[in-house]
Amino acid sequence: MELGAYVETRTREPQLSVSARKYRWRSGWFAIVLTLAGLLLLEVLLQGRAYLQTGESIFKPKDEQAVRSIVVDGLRLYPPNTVIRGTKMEIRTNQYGLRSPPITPSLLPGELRLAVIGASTVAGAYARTNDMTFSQKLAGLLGKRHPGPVNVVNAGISGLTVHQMRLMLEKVVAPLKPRLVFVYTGFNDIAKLCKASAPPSASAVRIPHPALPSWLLIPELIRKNTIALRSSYRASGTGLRRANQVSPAAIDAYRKDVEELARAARHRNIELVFVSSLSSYRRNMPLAEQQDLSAFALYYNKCLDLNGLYAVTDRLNLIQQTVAKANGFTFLDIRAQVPGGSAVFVDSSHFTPEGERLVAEALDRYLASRLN
Amino acid sequence: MSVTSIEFFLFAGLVCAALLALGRAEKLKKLLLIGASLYFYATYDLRFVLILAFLTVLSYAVGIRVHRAESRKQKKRWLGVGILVGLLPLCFYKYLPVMALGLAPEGSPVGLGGWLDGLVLPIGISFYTFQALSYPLDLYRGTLERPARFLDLACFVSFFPKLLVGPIVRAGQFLPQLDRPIRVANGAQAASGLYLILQGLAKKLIFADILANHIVDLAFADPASHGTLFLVIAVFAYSFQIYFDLAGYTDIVRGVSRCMGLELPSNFNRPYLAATVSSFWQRWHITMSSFFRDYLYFSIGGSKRGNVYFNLLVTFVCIGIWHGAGWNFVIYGLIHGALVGWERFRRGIRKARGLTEAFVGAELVGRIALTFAIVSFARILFRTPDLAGAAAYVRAFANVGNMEVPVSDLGLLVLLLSFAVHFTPPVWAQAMRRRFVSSPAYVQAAVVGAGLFLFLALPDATASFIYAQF
Repeated sequence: MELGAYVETRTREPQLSVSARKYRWRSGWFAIVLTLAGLLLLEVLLQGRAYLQTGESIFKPKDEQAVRSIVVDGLRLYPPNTVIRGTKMEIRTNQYGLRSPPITPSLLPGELRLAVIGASTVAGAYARTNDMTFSQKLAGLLGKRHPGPVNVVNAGISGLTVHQMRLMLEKVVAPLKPRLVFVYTGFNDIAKLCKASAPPSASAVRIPHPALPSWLLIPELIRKNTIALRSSYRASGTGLRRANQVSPAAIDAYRKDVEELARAARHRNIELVFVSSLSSYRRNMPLAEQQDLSAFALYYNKCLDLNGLYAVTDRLNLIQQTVAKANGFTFLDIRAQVPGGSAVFVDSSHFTPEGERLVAEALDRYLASRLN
Repeated sequence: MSVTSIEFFLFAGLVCAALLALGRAEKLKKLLLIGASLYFYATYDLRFVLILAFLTVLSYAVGIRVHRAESRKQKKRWLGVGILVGLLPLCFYKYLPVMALGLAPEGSPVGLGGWLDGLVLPIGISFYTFQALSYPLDLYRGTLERPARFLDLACFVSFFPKLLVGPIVRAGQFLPQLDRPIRVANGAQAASGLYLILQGLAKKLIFADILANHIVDLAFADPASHGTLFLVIAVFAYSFQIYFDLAGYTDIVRGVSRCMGLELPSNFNRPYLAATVSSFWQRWHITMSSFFRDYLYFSIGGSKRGNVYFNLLVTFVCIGIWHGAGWNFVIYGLIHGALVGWERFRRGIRKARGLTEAFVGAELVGRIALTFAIVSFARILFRTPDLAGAAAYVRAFANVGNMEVPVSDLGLLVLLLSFAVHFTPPVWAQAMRRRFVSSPAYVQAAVVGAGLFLFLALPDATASFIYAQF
């Protein structure tokens, strides 16, 4: 007797025969239950591992999770005055919800106060402690030369785009009266360009349906750790090819965002320095190495291939350069001072400790000439 | 709610659990299935539920009229009216916008033409229109002896697994299942359903989507920038993509349906193993091609009345147009109709000479390869948006100097696996299914787990089902 038949007749025949019991363990339903139980167990284990390593997991209250930044007046911030500690990462946030040391609202006597606005690369996606982010390393370097107190506000929040960086400038950074603000835009805007360039989907009147929660670790971990499987082109040697279609409207929208950021700074008499975004892959590397190093960026930018990434990055840098010039600001190109490769980058765009050090030194060299 | 998403399977699991909980309350089970189906369809677009409801009510009313009509002539009249009215939504959403745009001055999609062009094609309309119309047709033909209860008919038309991309189940095949109590699958049936689901997901997410993302889309996006070799590879890759795409969907929904205790028909029988184009159409999208054969080809005379070659051409052109309102689909139908007609003519001559049609050995292999090539190259018309696009693709075959093949290792592997999987003996697949079903649950669960890993790890992005646009 099979399980289905057993379920139907169980009132009459409560005892299973040996053969029925054997069949029960061959039931597809039981296999489904086992699979679901296995997935649940795996997810719990992964969440536990994440909690140990980064101090974060779904087990923690939502308002104490740094990676799940909170939104205040349209601006994403980390939970303020929080310490999130794991074996691999410690994030301390200040009273403003930034991964930065506490800072007084007004300038201290003789204080040199600077700020760096950006996204995960500025926040220090792989920096073990706050001190290991390039902004704090820069503060350390400046402190050796500057007699008074030195503060470099780390205004980097994972996922920020230029539009949100303007909000960060207006709402958090400008009231702190920094002497100079570095803007390191990173690559989130490129992903935004891809989304904006996709053909619009037909308008539909849909009723919602339950979806899997975004905090599940299994799908994201599998996707991230198997990028190499999907991006290898050893047999053909040509590399990934994509249409590289970025709509002019999306580029224009980016230009407007950068212009608004510059205008907001000028309006508040804040000096901006746009810093060129850095990637681990460089044109002077062998093609295979470029492909390996760019795999992570290509995973997040589905409309571009390697050539497209270079072209769009150059285009966005040029926009920043043009806008900076038009507003009397500086565009600082540090690509030559921070080389690519896996010693400097963990993935396509986030720094290793060595990368954090090199960026801090590059900014320090600029400041040495600028502030003197 | 995509049928490849985990949400869909959780939803289907909930429906199964609810069916089980309802015990012997058959009416409630049918109401549950109808409610679940309407909800499922409304997650795509709430408005289109009305079309589904309209077709169900129309089929029911026409079915009663056809059954009650006293003379054959009267039955035929009611059937004709029913079919004409039933095809109206399909024509309105699918064909009218193309016709209106074709008649409008070039580059001015304004006014009525522009409004029609902006209409969203209700997903699955080609499929459920035919299924709904099969009900009065089956009553007329006598396949169904008596009219169905409205609840049963609504359950049949709206049954969510087959709603979007078929298989095109006929009323005569499905309604008798609703006369019996709906029993959720037992252990072995669930294992077999699970196997079908896994097989379908593999076909869709691993084969179809990887071929699309790594080869086909790239070639068809800008054929002029690629060389002949890559373009030819892409033609064959598309043949496999479209097969695995629809076969994958069919397997998934058959598996889900089986778990609920309802059977849906199979759609494919190794189509690329066909040695003739006629044989290909007996193996490819079987529920659709047999629908056209039984309800159109035979109705216009088949081989008994009128000119059989003309009847074949009409049938295949209609098959082409069913896929889309464009000249490329008309020509696609004409090519296949002409080839099937030619094969029929040739078969007649060979028969008259006392020769058989059975191919063996090298000739069989050659015939299979030739048929596969013909079918694949004709599909250029299918993949490109219009005739100009198809012409551009064909023109690009002249780029013989460009030998670059920008295919990823994964794309290449999947293409080779596609050949291997399709051209291996069908008994191997059957043996694998038997082995899975008879394995202990923990082995089945391990296979499902491994499958889930591959479904997440290998595809770049999930492409929508090709047939969902038809």
